Amino acid sequence: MKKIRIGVYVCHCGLNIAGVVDVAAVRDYAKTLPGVVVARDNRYACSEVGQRAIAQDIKRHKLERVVVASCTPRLHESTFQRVLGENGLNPYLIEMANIRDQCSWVHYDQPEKATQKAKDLVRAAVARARLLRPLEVNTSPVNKSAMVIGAGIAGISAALYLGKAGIKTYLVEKGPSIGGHMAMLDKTFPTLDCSLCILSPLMVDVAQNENIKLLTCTEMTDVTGFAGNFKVKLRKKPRYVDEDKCVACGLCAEKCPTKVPDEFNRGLTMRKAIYIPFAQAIPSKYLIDPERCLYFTKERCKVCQRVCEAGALNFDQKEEEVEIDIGVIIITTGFDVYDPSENREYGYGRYPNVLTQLDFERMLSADGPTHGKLKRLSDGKPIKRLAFIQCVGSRNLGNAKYCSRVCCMITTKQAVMVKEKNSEVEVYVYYIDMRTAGKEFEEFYQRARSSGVVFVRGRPGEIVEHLQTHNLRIIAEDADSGCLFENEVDMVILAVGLKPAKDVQDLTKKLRLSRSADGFLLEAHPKLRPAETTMDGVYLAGCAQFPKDIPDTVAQAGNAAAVAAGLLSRDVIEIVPLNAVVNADNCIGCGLCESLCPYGAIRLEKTAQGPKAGVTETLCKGCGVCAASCPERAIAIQHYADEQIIAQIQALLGVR
Amino acid sequence: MQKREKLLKEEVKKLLDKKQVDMVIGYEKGTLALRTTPCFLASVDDVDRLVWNEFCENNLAKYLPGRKEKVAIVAKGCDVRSIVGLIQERQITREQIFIVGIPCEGIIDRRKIESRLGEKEILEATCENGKILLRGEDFQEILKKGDFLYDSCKVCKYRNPIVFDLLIGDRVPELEKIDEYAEVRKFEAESPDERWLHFQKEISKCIRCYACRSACPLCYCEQCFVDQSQPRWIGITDNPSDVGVFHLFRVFHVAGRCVDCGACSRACPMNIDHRWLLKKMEKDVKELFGYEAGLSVEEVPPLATFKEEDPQDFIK
Repeated sequence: MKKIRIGVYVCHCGLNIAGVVDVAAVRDYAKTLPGVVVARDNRYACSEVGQRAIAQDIKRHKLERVVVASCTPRLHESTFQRVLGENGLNPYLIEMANIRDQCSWVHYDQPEKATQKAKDLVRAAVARARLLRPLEVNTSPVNKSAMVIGAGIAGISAALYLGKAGIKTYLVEKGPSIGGHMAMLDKTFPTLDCSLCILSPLMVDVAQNENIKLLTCTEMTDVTGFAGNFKVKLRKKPRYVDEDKCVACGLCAEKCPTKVPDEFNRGLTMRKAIYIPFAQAIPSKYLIDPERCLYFTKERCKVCQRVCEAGALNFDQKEEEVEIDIGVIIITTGFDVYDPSENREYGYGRYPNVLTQLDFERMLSADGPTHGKLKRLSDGKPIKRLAFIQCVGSRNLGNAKYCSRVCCMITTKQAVMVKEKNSEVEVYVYYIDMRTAGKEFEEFYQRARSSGVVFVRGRPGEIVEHLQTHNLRIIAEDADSGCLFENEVDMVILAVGLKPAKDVQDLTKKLRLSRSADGFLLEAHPKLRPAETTMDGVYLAGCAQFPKDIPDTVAQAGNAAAVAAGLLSRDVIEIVPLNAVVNADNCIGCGLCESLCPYGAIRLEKTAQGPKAGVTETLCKGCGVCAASCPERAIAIQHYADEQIIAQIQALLGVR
Repeated sequence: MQKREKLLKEEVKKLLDKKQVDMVIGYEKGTLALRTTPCFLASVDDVDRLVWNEFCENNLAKYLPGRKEKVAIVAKGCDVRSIVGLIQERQITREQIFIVGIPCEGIIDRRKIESRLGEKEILEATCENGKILLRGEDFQEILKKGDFLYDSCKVCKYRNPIVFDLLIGDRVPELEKIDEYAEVRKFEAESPDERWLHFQKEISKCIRCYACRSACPLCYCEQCFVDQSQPRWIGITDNPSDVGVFHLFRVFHVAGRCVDCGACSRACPMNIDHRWLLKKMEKDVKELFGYEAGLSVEEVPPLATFKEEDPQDFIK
């Protein structure tokens, strides 16, 4: 066999590596390895100087393979691949040995052993490099449009960023209006801006932006394809009201005889079976709730049709299947609030005066059940004493270990609002710690304290309702004084945590995304790629990723839109050739690979020799599940072929 | 039994006569007493060779993978479950095979008889009405069939085939009150050290002949891990570590697939109790995934799929 010419570059990484590992010794050892024609050490292999050394050697020594012993390929593999590409070598002919993370960092207290391990890793890398093969990069054209799933503040922001950049964007919302949870808020912390006053202009922008196509009452049913070329199937549920004709005069709802608990007001008020979710809803069109409408349940009434002057009612509307082709997907599906009745916490759902923060938010709103007045729901008496309990459904081992981040500030906001409405009301906040990290958050919290809100460090075990008065008795240990603190209040507000939206599981399956242990969608990198997912071309923003407040949500939406626009600005997308390849001679057509492939990228195809596995390169991520499970070892992952890995392991173990 | 054999011959004749299948795989009389041999019939004239009796021990599913023609196969309850496995694993299509299901009341373990009779040579063996009639040159003996069944037959839950195109004769009653995991539970109760000793003792008999592999209907890989040399997963010696690895791998390779047909144990020349570890694996799969192998063609085996709700607490 012809000897392959290999160059080895050992990096000092300043003192990161050289502080522990004897770099010169590793370099000299590399020179003794078969096929190595040049070995050098660089202070920083990734620097201009370091790159130039490699480039010159490729020419001068006619290198055929390059081994860089430095940091992780996650950081710099692409840097060195580029150097190879620019100097006439196929970019896939490089191998990296991670002697920083795997040697100097972990074995900082054993420099000799760290050096020996670095030599071992370099020997293994050289052995693998010898067997690397050049790979061709394929390209595929990019469809220059986007889809955003979920039209809360995250989805609205992302769609607007994209729309304003001239990108055709489908904004898909399963509910009848855009706006999400933000539309349900009365005020926002820490500035006490009216939530809808700042949100509704954006909603109107969405409706008016010529690049944004809004699809409400719509859900994604299927998605196929890959970054740059997704094919999406959508199902649009009927409104039974012609959107083009409805002028939202409201006559239909006025006459409709059927009353239904109003979801927008958390079931605390009633709406009609034909309704508009809220006054500022976009699209500003009515719709029928077919589960409650008398016509759909009992085949009578149709009074709405008789009174509608525009003739907008259409009881024959059917579900529509819509298919769209897009290049990128942004997921902004938000969150669900924790329902304390799930675990019978603090009498929620049984005691009429125990509410969640979101319920109370509606009470504070002019459109809410008490029109913004501080009245009890049980008997309409004015509220004189009010308590908040923090961390309900957050920071416990039972259901959610994480901190939901926003509840402390929501409580602070609501406490300030109560004090502003009536400073006589006594407000108590039972907390574990108050978390007020954020611009002007701490100042806002101090404002609550100075306005007389009492913060009690200690979470009550339970609260007891007085049978006649419906007052609520709270006993908690005040950890600051060490005393038991007994309190009787008119109303209790539970600061409930945020949890992953119910539909997320379905979405993760369809898009083959990962979720973190808490159930929220997993980002590609927690620090450097917070708005990307593990799937190329699929991005995320807002509380679908983790609970966050409005500024962070909008920032992440901008981040997602920027990365999405980056992909869409390209004419073609490069398809990394690290995919599975099937050796049809060995394939026995058992189909194990097909059933295990998480990306639907490998399928049995009929051939003259019987069924054989075939790979769709554009879908394949090169994860290797098929190769590992194949009973016949008929599948190999390009660039990670068995022979390469085995050579590496054998070199590592010193097998000759 | 003879009635069933007669019926079987009639039906097989019809199948070949009407050219419904190209070939029939069944059993014929063996050259030794207590034995039958697999036979492959392509013509109506051959059908009289067919037999069905308590000595039809082989799992004929072994002969299915790779078949190109349309075949009928005589299959007991356990054999049918192996066939289902092969269909699930796409080694043969359902359309390609005609399953002649045959209800079975248990197969006689010739080794148990031989060890009872010692050195005496049996020249003729028949079974009727629960009695085994044995004849030799200078002796005759009658044994109770129930005492000489295969261990796997004693705890059989599917004596009637569950998937078939044709059932020969009436169904037989299923066994009641069987405790198939009694041995497994005993094993589970042992300490790790005891279990290891138990395992070592059992496999110390192994001579690495691979008869178990050759008999197993689900061992159809063209290249077995034991034969691979690049990389070599396992040494070729019969020292305890190589033998242990072979047996552990084998058990894992049939996890969620083994139907306890007993073919491996029957084939073993060294009387290794293969079923003992396999049964433990079967119980684990049942408890972890609620799955029993070979019951439905449509079902996806647990190790060929993953669900988010699959148990994950084993990941440390």
